[in-house]
Amino acid sequence: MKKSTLISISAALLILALGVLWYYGSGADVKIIDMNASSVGVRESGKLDIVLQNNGSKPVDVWLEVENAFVDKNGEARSTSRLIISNDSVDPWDAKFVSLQKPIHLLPGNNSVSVWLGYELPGEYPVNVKVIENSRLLDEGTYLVQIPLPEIHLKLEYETESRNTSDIYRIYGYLINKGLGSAMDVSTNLTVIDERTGELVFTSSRTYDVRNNDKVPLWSWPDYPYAIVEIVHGEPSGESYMPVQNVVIGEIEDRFLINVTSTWQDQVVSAELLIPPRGESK
Amino acid sequence: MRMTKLHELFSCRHAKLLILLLLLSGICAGCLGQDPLEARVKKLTHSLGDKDQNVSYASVYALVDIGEPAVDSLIKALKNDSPQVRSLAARALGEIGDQKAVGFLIEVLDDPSPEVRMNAAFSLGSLGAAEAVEPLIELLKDENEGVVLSAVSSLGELRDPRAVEPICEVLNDNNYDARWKIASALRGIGDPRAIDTLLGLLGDKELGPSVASMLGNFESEQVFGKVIKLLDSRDPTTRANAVAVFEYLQDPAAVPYLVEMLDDRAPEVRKEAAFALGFFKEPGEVAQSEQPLIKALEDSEPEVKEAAARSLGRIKSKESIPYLEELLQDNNQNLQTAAIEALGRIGDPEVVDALTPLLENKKWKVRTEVVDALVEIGGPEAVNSLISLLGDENYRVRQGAAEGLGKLGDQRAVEPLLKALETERERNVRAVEVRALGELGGSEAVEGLRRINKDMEEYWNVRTAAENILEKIEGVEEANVSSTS
Repeated sequence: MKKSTLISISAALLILALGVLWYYGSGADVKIIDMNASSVGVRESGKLDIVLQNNGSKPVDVWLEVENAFVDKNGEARSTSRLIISNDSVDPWDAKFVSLQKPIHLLPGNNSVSVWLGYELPGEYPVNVKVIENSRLLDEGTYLVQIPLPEIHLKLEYETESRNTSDIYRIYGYLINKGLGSAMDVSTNLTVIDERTGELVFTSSRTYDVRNNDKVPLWSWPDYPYAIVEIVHGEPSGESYMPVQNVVIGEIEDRFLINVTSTWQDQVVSAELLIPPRGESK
Repeated sequence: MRMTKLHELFSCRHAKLLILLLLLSGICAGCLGQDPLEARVKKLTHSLGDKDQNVSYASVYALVDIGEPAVDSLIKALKNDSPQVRSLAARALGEIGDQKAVGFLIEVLDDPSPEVRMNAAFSLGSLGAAEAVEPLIELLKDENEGVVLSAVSSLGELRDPRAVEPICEVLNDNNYDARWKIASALRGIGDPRAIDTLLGLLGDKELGPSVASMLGNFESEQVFGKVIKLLDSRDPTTRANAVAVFEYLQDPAAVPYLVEMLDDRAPEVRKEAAFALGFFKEPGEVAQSEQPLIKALEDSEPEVKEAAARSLGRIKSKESIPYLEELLQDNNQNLQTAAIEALGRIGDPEVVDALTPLLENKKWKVRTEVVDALVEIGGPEAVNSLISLLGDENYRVRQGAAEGLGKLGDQRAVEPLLKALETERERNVRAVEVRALGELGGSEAVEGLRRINKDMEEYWNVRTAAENILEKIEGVEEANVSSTS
């Protein structure tokens, strides 16, 4: 091998070695020593708390790169917009935000920062955090965020009033979520079937959002029921029952099966009422 | 360890070449290691010219977030070829608030693009740049209305009296927003030279009421005499708004004039005078206004009667009670609710008997008004009425009754509230009932709150309200135990 070739190869290797040295060497001594996220449901905002330890004797400016902090319903990761520094407040609106457009100033010792989290679907999300100083990777860590499932239930109840020649059944219902994650856009269908003929006499549908450990009423207007069944013994009352939209008028020999079914992803729940109930004289 | 390697390298035969290579590496490293913040500022400043508005606006926000380190780059961008870049840079500089930008922003006040002039003017106001007053006054002659209004707003923020007359001169615009901005700027400057111009706007049907409140910010002696003259104006709008100025000035000397205006020929003036008198509550003032206001309850216009009724409530006129009780039967709902509100404010327990029949009124608005009045009055009779309203057919009435029972603090309400919670379906009413139980306290209430707190089929906000109250009660109990031990 010629001497000049050897020199060229040595030079190239040297540049490479210097490049590696520059990239990995002599960076600040900053480590991620802890990461923790409190429980967060689907489409709720959460926080990943990160403790960064600056082992140097001087403050250092670093950048954080966070992956998988926000993931949309198509599974695509979006960047988080703000960091929260030294946040002692429980209320997210009182937090002191710091732009990701600027480096974080780490004092010697432990420094706490948080990043916003948000997910549109339940599941497990590895949130990857990189600590970078002047394009050098100082440390990297991953925290597995678990987004729990909602657990939906339905409950129906009714009250009766006899008015003139009619029995009026006011039906109320709730969509209940006993799980830890929110359920959004829960498709809920009401069907009313004439028990005698098996004929479908009424349908309607609507979507609801219900947060974790909460319930939402199925009715839309305060003080007005979800549905009304009027059983007429003589002349119909002629009432419109506005603003209630789900209204069925039947005659004395009619009995209706009221079914409400809610569907959220692979969860399907139902509740039923028979109006008038069996055993109630017609 | 790294030092050893370097030493070995220097000891080889091709030391010169190696030194050169080292220098080269250093330069490369220097280039690669450019301050990332600087690189980001450069990129974002370039993005100000992006055709996609989402990108260009997001770049402004990002540069504002960066703040001071972005200022030099933005100042440079004021000379960019693209008007969009210049305009957004001008705006960002104002948002960042670095005084270094002031001189450069003044320079671009004659930029050919109106957007740049507008944003530069706006930013100079945000920066509080006193040296920009003269250039901004000059900008009032600009051919573009947006630029002129931006200059007006900024001059208003700078509060320099030199701007008053030039701003008054541009007040010939028919546009409401423009007139409002000009009037606000004059109010902001607060110089007495603006008073005449503002008084001239009291005849403006749209702007007059706002201008009346603006004039209330001046010293009474600067305005009072001039407003009195306007009470003789032929224009009823001017007279009504002049009366409103007295309400804001709160000068006791205005009371006789306001009483006199109760006999004005225009109903809107009488209404404004009746309304304004309710804000003069000192005994000497009430002595002058009480009887004229009672007389105004017989006015031919329901709006005047309504204003008089509300004012009699504000001044707590006991003499007006029989007249107000008469109005409880009026067919006009506004008048009826004004009388109920007034009786509540006066707070005489003897009026409860007159109010109670109205709890049967078909209109929920009337019933909620009675609830509010009963809460103001208080007493055992009011509590009984409120308890009966926990079963009202309207959720607003039930909510008001529960809230009132909590405020009145009568333990008799605990059991009815717990019973109401057995059947109440509305989320917000339940939450208010729970909070009322918390205010009333006692072992029975606490027991009920514990049940609600444990019920996983309860509304989240109701359960949380119960939880918070229990935490508070238990905290107090713990504190009491530790203090006694």
